[in-house]
Amino acid sequence: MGWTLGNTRIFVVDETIDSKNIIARLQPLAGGSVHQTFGYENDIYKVNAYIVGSGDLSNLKNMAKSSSKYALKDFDGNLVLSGYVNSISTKVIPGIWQSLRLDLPSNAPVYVVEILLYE
Amino acid sequence: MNNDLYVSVTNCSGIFNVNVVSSHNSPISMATIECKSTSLEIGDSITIDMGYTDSHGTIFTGYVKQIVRQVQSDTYGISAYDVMVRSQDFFIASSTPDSALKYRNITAEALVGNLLSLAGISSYTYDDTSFTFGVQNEFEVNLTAVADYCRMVSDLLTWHLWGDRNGTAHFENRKPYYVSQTMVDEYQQYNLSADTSTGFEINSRNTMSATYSLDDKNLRNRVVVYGTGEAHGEATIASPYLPDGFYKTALLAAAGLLDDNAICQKTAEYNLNLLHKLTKKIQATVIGNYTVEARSVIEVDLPEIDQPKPTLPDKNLWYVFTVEHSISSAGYVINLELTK
Repeated sequence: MGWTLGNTRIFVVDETIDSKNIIARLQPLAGGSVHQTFGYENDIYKVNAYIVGSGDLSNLKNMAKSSSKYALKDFDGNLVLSGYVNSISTKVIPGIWQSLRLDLPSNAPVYVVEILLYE
Repeated sequence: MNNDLYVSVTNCSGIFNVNVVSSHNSPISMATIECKSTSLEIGDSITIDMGYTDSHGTIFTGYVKQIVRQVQSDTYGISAYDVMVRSQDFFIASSTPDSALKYRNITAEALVGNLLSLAGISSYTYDDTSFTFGVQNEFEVNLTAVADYCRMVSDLLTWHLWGDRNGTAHFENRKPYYVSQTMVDEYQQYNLSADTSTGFEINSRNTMSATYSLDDKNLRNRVVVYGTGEAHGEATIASPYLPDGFYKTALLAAAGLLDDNAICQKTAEYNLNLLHKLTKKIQATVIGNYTVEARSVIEVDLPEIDQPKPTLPDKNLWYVFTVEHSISSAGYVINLELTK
């Protein structure tokens, strides 16, 4: 098992979850603030992970162009969330040898990706 | 009152923002809604209820006139107008030039009611005007929208026609400013009564911004009325705001409707009462309150406004000339134009 997004294997380094209330802040002449709540935003997940191989990178990039939701599952295969991939930021890791994915060539490229998911 | 915002619009969900504008300038109130999804169609009846979860109410009843679909943002923009839009949409045109609508010896309130009913507006309430048209000769009503003709009648009498939040048309002696008992005693007009406050007050604790202005743009101290044939009327007053002997004149012409000197003269006097005053205006942005309606009177307690603060019983009462209720993720505010 391992973390997956859609059916793409990812190696999660860290995960941040942003939850936000929608609060209007009005300033009367007498000072102080009046707060009015208008609802809330769905959570935003930021996942930093390693991926191996240009094939998996291409899969993730296609998710960022799709209007479908994708399942983020944890190491044990449990669903963390089903969300839209808003953005993927990619950095190539210079290296000679990889052992993260033994099913792929040892000289397969390794990337660090930052994935933004909207619940 | 809590501060959790509440808004509900007929057959709309995922509402982003709602704006409802009602003004003495127009008999028709307008609402615009932006939402995620809707099943509304053109002509559907629509009601808007907004405020806070523990204090809200209906602020608009009307009909959908326009639906815009924004593809890029996947949202709908809906425009709706209240029942009085029917008076604007209904154009009176007889089938032949010789078969035009004709009236004789009809009161102003009956004439307006009759024309509104042509436009399908049956819920109608009015003040007796004591004005009767076509006493000596019948007159035609043709080739005009109902709203335009009724507006002309209202302007002649300085009466006011509008639709309320519940879809009822009103034709009443409603001036576009706060009316004090002193004015009532001075004007001696039929069915004119002093305004009383709704109890709502704008002050430094609920107002985000306010400006106060004063001008003589609409001031007139001479009104001339031309009626049918030789019928005419004229009213003048020396104005403390204008040079001695100087008269700014307003002319009203209503051949057909006003066919004797007495009614022309009454029309001139009513209009002189309306027009011989400075325009005092407050524009303010206030924390939202759904109970504030146009054509009501509220209290103002703001620093630097109309100082020194009068001590009369009707101190600092202002007429709500325009109110815009606006609710969105930026909050619920009302933009007010107040006159006195």
